[in-house]
Amino acid sequence: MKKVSIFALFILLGLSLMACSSDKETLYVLNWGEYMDSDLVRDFEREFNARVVYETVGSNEEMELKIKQRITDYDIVIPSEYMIDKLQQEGLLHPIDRDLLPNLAQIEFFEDARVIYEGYTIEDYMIPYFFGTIGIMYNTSDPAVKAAIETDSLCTLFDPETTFNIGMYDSPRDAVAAALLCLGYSVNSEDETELQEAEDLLRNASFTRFGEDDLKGDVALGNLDMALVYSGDYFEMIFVYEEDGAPINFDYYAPEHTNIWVDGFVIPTTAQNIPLAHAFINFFLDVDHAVQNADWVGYTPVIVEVFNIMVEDYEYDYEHYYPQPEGTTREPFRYLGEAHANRLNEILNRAKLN
Amino acid sequence: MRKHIGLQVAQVLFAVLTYFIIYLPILIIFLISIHGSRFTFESFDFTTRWYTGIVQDRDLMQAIMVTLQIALISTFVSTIFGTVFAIGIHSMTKAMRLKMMMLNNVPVVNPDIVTGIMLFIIFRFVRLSFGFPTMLLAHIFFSIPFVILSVLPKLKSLDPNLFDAALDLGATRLKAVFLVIVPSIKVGMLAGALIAFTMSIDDFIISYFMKSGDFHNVSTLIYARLRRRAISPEVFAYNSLIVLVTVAVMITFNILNRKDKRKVVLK
Amino acid sequence: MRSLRSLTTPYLVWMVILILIPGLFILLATLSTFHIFNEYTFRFTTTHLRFLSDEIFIEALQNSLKYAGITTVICFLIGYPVAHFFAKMQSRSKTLFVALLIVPIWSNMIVRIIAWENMFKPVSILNLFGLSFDLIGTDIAIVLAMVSMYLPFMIFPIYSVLLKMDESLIEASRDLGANRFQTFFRITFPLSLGGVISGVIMTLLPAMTAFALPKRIGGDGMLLLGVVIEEQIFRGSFNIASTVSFIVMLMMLTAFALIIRVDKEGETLL
Repeated sequence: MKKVSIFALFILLGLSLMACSSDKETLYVLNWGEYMDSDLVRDFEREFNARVVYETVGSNEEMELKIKQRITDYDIVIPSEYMIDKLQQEGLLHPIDRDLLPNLAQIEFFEDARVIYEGYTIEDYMIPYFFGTIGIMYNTSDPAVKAAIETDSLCTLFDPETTFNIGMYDSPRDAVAAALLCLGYSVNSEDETELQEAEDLLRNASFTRFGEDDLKGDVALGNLDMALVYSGDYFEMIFVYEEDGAPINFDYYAPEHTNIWVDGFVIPTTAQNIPLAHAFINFFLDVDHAVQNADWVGYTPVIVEVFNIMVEDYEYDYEHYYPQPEGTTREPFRYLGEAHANRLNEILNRAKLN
Repeated sequence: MRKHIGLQVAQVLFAVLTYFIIYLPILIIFLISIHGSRFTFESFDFTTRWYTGIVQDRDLMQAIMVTLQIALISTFVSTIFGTVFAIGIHSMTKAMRLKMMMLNNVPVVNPDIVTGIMLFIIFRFVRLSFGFPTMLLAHIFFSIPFVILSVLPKLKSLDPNLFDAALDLGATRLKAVFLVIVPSIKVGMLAGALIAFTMSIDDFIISYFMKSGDFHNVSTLIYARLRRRAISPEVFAYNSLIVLVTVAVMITFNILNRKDKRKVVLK
Repeated sequence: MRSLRSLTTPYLVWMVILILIPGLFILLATLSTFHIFNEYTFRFTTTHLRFLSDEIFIEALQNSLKYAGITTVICFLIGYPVAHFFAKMQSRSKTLFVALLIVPIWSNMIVRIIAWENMFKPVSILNLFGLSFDLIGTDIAIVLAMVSMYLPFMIFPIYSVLLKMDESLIEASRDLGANRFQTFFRITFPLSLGGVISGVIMTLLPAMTAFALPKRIGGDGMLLLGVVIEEQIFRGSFNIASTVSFIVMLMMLTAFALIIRVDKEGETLL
C-alpha cells in the first residue's frame, strides 16, 4: 500500500514536471475576463505551433501593475486608451510594426474609434480591438426604473433618497466620470471645484453596493435595479440568457452624451517574442476570426467589415450595438498624470467610506 | 454521576446550531449544483448536467489536478520533514526547544494574508518562477509547523532510553529512528498529514499570492471566475462531490472502527 | 538522543529565509522607500506611517475590531459548550462528531463564501422555499458568515484541552462538596484557558484580516484590514500594504506573547 502511494506520488510529480517543460514558443497574453474566444486562442496555438499563456484581470490599473511587477513578461496586453497613453509615456510599450500585420490592408476601422487615438502618440503603439460606452443597465420588471432613468439619465444613480437598489462600478475613473457627466462637466475635468462636486455626489449617493464585472449578473437577476456598466456587459448577459432560454428582464440605457472608450492590443517592452506577438494581433484582424470573436465576446468590433457582418448575418441589430449613433456626442478619457489618477482613486475611496 | 437535564438539552441544542451554521452553505451549494437553471428560481428543476459538465470544463479539470497534486506532494513532503524536524526539536534542551517552537508557531498564528505577502516578497526577491513551484513551496511551508505540533506530543510520551538502547545494540542512527521512534509516533504523523492535506485543499489566501498566468488551483480559479458573466455551477458540483465522498469515508471508517474494537473485546 | 539535534538546523535556515528575512523586508518597506517592483532611490521616510491616521485605515481598523470582535464572542459562546459537550461525551462516535466539523473546511472556503453571498441576495436559490433576504452589506450578514467560517477553529483547541484534562481533579472537587457550577468555574474553566486563548486568536486574527469574505458579503464597500492590504498591494502601493501588514504583525506578536504565557510550546494550537 505504501509503495503504491509513493509510486503514485512520483507519477504525479513527473506529470507536473512534464506540464512545465515544452520546447514550443510561448506567448504571454494579459486580457480582461471573457474578452476573447478561447477556441480562437487554441486555433492560433495550432496554426503557429505555439503555447499561449492567457491570463485575465478586472481593471486597467491591475494590467499596469502586472506589467510592472514582471512576474510574467507579457507579449500582448489589451488595456484601454488612457492606460495605453500612460504606459507609452512611461516607456513601457514597444511600437507596433504595421508591416508585420498584412491583414490591416483588408479592413477598415470605424472613424468614431479612430478619432480616439489618431493623431496622438499612442497611434503607433496600439491596434484597436473593441469599443463601447458607459451607461446604465437596468432591470425592466419594475417600469418605474426605466421611467426614472429616462428623466434623470446618469443622475438617477446618484439620488441620495433613492428607493432603488443601485450598483456602482468599483473603478475610480468610470465612477467619477459618471458623476462628472451627471453634473454636466467633462470626463477629463481637472478643475478641483468640479472634482469636489463629483466627490460630494458620489459620497452622498446611496449605492447598494460596489462591484466589477459581477454587477451585470445581479441586474439581470433582479438583485439590483440598475448599475453603471460598460455597454458590452449588457450584450454579454443577453447571450448567456438566450443560451439558457431564460426570460430577459433587463435593458441598457446609453445617455446622449457619455464616455466612449476603445481597448487595443499593445506589446510591452518586456515582450520576449515580438514577431509572434504581431502574428497574434494579425490573427485577430482576419475578418473570419474577428467575426467569430465578436460573436463570442459580444462587444462592438472596431472593424467596419466585421460590424456589418454581425448586423446583417448574425442579426446583431440591437439598439445600442453601435456606440455612437447619429445625434449623440461622446468623449474619451485622456491620461492626465499620476496626481490626477491618485485624486480619482481618493474620490472613490472616500465615497466607499460612507 | 448526576445529570442536569436542562444543561444537557442546552448543549445538544448548541451542537445542532453549530452543525446547522457550518453546514448551511454546504447544503446551499448542493442545491445549486442540482438545480437546472442559473437564472430562474421559481420552481425546482432537477439536473445532473453540472456534474457531467465537470469533465468538459478544461480549466476546472486542470485546477482540480493542480489542487490534488499540490495537496498530495505538500502533505507527503511536509509530513516527512515535519517529523524529522520534530525529532530534532524533541532532542534539544528545554530552553532551545521553547525558542524553536516559538519560531515554529509564527506561521500558525500569522494571518494568511501576511504569510502570503511574506512568501510573495521572498520568492519575488530571489526570482523564483511563480506558479506550481512557488505554490508547492508555500503549501509545504505552512504545513510543516502543523505536522511538528501534532508529532511532538507523541515524542514526549516516548521512552528516551529506547533510542539510546537501540544505538548501544549496534543499530545505526537511521535504523534506530525508523525502528524505534517512527512506529510509536505513527498516529501523530497521520494526524499531521491529515491536517496538512486539509489546510492545502482549503487554502485560498496564500495560493492567491502564488499564482501566475493561467496557472490556478480550484480556489483561485473560482475567485477569478467571480468576475464573469455568471458563475457556472460545475464548481459547485465538484465541491459537493468532495463533501459527499469525505462524509461517506468518515462514516465508513467509524463503522469499521467499531467492528474492530468489538473483535478485540471478543478475543 | 542528543545526536539528533542537528536535524533542526535545516529547519532553522528554512524559517529564517521564509519568515525573518521577509519580515525585515516588510519593516524596511514601512520605514523607507524600499520597493520590490519599481526602481527607487533608497531613503528612510515616515510618509507611509502617515497612512495610519488616514480615514481609510481608521475605518478598516474599527470595522476589523468590530466584526472580528463580535464574531469571536459569538464563536466562544457557542463553541465552548459544544467543545465541552463533545469532550465529555461517552459515545464511541465522538471522534466522528468532531470530524464532521472538519468536513466543511474541505469544501472550499471561497465556495462557502459564495453560498452565503447567494443567500443574502433577494433573488437566490432560497426562493425555491419562498424565502428571500436582502442583507448584502449589513452587519448581520457579515457576522453570520464569519461565525460559519471560523466557529470550528474556536471549537478544536478548546476540545483538545478539555479532552486531555485530568478527570480526577473534577471528581476531587465534587468529593470536596463543590456543586457543578463551582467545579466548572473554579476547576474546569481555568484549566481550559489555554485552549480558549488559542481559539480566540485562531478566530480573531483570521477574521480581522479576511478579504474575500468582506468583499463579497460586504458589497465591496466594506473595509477590513485584509481588504486594505489586498487592495493596496494590487494597486501597486507596496509600501502602504507593508505598513498595514506590519501593524497586523504587531497584533500577531501580541497574541503570541499571550499564548506563551499559558502554553509555552503551543500545544493548544492544534
